[in-house]
Amino acid sequence: MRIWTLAAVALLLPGLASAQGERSSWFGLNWSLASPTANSKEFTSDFSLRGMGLEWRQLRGRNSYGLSLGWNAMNEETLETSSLPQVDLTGFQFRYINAYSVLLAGHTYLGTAGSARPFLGIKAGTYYINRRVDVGLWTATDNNWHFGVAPELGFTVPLRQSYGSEAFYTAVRYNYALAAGDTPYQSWFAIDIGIATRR
Amino acid sequence: MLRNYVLWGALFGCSLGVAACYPGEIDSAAQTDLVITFHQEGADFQANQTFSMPDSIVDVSVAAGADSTLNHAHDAEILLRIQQELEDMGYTREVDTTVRADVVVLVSAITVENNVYYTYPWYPYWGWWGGWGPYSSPGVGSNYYYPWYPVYTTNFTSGSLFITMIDPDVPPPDTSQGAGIAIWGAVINGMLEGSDPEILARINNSLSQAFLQSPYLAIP
Repeated sequence: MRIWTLAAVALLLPGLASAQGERSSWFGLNWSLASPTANSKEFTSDFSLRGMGLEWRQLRGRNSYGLSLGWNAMNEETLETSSLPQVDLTGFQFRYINAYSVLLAGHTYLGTAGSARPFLGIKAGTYYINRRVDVGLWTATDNNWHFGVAPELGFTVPLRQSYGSEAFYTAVRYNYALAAGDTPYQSWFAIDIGIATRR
Repeated sequence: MLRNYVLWGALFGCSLGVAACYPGEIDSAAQTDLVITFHQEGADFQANQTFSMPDSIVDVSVAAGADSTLNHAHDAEILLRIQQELEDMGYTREVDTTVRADVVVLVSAITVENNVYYTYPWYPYWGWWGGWGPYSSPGVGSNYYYPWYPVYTTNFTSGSLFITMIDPDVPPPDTSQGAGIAIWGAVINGMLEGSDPEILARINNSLSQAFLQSPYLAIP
């Protein structure tokens, strides 16, 4: 956890430092796909097409800092027999993970303005994760706030001339939410596809 | 500028559309079917060869003094299915109620909500059954001991079918807890939606599943 925290601070600092100079605001709205890994994949293994995100970045030169709000819904439907001591249970299981994130973000941009620009970023903050299993007429659920970090890389592509201040952007982000309560750590890759405007 | 708003509006609309399309909800009554089986750890199922079974399904709600909408039209078919499943596993039904079988299989059902699984006394419900004669030793009391944790039913639109296999020869840990021990139990639960044939087919499937997931019941 300490390593992740230090990495988050180290990568956020350039973005925060950029606030000292000329500012330009960047707003993004994206469709967010998700592929669960590790514990999350054990719970819900399907690739998710359901999610969205909102981002605000304050730009200065090659760096930015900002805030990111996100939601990813992962699910799996399965018919299986689960066994516990003395008990066996068979039924359709509908499993869901709804992960909501509020993350501070720092990014650094490569390339030159006006062309496609790759960027690297780190986000850190809180995840509110709801895990639910519906089986038969019963529901089991847990909800926890997790601290987490999310390194990402992506690129922006300016849209055609008539939309001079808009850009298409995409990013791949690895979300890692530390264990909280009785819930083990959760992780998933998110693929964001969105559009951004700069003011 | 106008095109900017159109673009943003379209993207926002698509995002909301994605968000609104929530995944994987239950879309048929059959998907609510649940089969739970319990067994006593260490029970010697192979020691039993014969079973007795009352020829009625007890309506737990009525037996407990409440109203019920339980449909008894298919009781005989359900009991026959249970008998067939047990016979397939090597058991023989003892129909002579004067003969003591190795285990007793009791079948009950309920359709009302917020009932607790088997926390009620069993004996009054099956007290009319002549098959108790062979077991009417001093041990017969008002209940049996269940070595697993009770299960709760919670939805008024649901129905539950309970099957309990009791071994009267095995005393419970505490004799005040009953006269014998339940060594196996099954709960079949689901929404009571659809036509009678559909519901019966689902019950039959669930009954098969109950025995399929209990291979330890089989005797050579």
